[in-house]
Amino acid sequence: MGAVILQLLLEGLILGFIYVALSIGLTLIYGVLRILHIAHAGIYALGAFFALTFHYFFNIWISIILAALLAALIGILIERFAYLPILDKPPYVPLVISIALYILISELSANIWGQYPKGFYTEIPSIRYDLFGISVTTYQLLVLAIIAPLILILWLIINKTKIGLASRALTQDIEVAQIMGISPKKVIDFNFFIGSALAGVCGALVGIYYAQVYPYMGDIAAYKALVVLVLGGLGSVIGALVGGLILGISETFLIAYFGYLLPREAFAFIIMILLLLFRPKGLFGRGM
Amino acid sequence: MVIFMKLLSKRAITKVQSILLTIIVIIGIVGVYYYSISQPTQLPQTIKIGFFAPLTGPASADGYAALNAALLAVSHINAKGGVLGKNLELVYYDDALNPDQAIAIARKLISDDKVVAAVSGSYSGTTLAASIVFNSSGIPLVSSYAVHPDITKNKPWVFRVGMLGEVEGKVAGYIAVSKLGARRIAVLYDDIPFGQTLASSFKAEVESLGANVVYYDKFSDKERDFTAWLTQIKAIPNLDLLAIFGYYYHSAVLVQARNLGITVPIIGAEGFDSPKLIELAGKAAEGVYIVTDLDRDSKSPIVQKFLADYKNRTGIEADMVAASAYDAVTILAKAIENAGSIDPQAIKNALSKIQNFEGVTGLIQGFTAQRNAIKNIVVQVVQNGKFHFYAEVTDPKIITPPY
Repeated sequence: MGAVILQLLLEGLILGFIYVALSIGLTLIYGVLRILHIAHAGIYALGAFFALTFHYFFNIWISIILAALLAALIGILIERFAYLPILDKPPYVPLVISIALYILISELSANIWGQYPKGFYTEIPSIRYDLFGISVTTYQLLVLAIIAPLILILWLIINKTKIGLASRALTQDIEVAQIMGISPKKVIDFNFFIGSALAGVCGALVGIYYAQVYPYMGDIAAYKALVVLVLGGLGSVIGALVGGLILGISETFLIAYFGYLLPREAFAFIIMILLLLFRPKGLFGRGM
Repeated sequence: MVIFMKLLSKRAITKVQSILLTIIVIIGIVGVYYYSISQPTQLPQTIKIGFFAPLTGPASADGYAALNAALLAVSHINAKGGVLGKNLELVYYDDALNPDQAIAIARKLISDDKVVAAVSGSYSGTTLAASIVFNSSGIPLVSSYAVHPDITKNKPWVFRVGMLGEVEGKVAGYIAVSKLGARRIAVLYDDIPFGQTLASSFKAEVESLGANVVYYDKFSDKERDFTAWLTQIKAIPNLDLLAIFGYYYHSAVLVQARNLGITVPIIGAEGFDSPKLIELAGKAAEGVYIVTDLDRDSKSPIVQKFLADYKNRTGIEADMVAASAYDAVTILAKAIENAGSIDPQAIKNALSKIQNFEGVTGLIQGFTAQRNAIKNIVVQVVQNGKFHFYAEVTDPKIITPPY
């Protein structure tokens, strides 16, 4: 019994880290622009396709890095050409544009890479280790070994560097931050870069972990990242971390012990509704 | 036209120029109108068959497989001289897996395109929606691979060449207990009509044969992480077999099951019938059994020609979706030929009288009272990265659709 619980905890943790990596970008972008960047899920799917494509020419590590950079570039292009020109419009305008961009990205990917899911196999051998009755594969370790340090580095950047301070200042009050001499454009670029690169890495890792990449892989990711964003308190990075891990672990245990009552999307939204009822600012929100 | 617009927009236009342009435009419109009414009304050169499938969205891979196979069937038929001395023409639309759109398409096919009959290359939800329109309009519809029983139930104009979900689940249960000797069985299924129908009929058959279903749960169609379910399944003592009723895009379930150390045999159904399953799951697909109606090892020249031509046309191996769509078109063509007319009523009557039609999904003995095809069911097994023949179920008690 103990082994089953530990196994589930491991599975939940991995799922949780994937959610965290995906929603940190959303959090950073919501923080500075107050836009629900749904197209982020498209960048996540593109990250997987980019890594898959680069992997025809390079080894998997270089492919992931290149995919992250290209994903970051697309993130910045979306920011410059889709969001910045419409910042003065009511909030539903960027939301509609973001959803449209997401659909555009998935249908374009379906046209470029085909409608069928593509298998993603790497030179990293899939080996299973059995420790104390728990099975763990190299791919699961890969997800943990890449995402956890990346989140730590990101946390250090945001809390210990000047640009991190600027980003936090902008999140709190964009006008006062500008008076203090912070250039919002630089910080917005920075947040889109970091967030999109992380989404790209996340997509590539998920593609390797589930051994498939497909144009609509952002569908569920979009809901999940949104829930984690709200769960953690809009705009809070630590909140996204805790929210993502809670969601991943609780989903896994609920399915294992109570069976499948509802699709995961529905379950995630129920958690979100409960949280909004009892703690409307999210777990770590500061009331924005 | 572009120049005209530019001139207007730049306001660089003089009065004389504008009058001249207006006269030219009017002469053009009148000329085209006279040309069009002076053409004699032509008799239809082709026989039009309607077709719909999901060509965008998450199901588009199956949609294109069905469409390509239907187009292949049309080209095969036309190469042999067509039907009733005329070429067949496939009029097709994208239903995007949206039932509302399927209804609109059905209306358009009937009233605008004036098709004599139609084929569905789509899933249960859309086919069910469209079947109501075709049935009430008196235009025959042949469903390729949708499994929902209500598609044909009490709709005299709607036929099904694919397997009924209930039959498929029953065959899987029979194979699991009688051929693979399983006594303790876990069931995991996709929570859509396809998975629900198969899982419940599988469970009923397994229990009627005296074996036990010790785990029974479902997952969402979009699911990719099955570890929570599989961890519980792994902990079940003395498990003999795992039945999974999902689609090829759930390939991760096989990979994760093997990674967790679940070694029991796995059986699936037509949703797993795709070369993509093997490509995506790799080694984890080895030894997986699938209940289907496409036998790749069949000696039939019709099957081998279809497999080769489809591969040639699309660059990918055929699956049962493609095979079923191909059969739906060819059986319809045969019915039109037998009817000797393009009158929908005559086509419908000919369809219901068809016997021993040799298709790529095997011999269709005919249709039941509720117009479901009666045919043998095949079980394939993955060996060395290919689907191969494992068994054929011919017992009429198992394979005859209950209605």
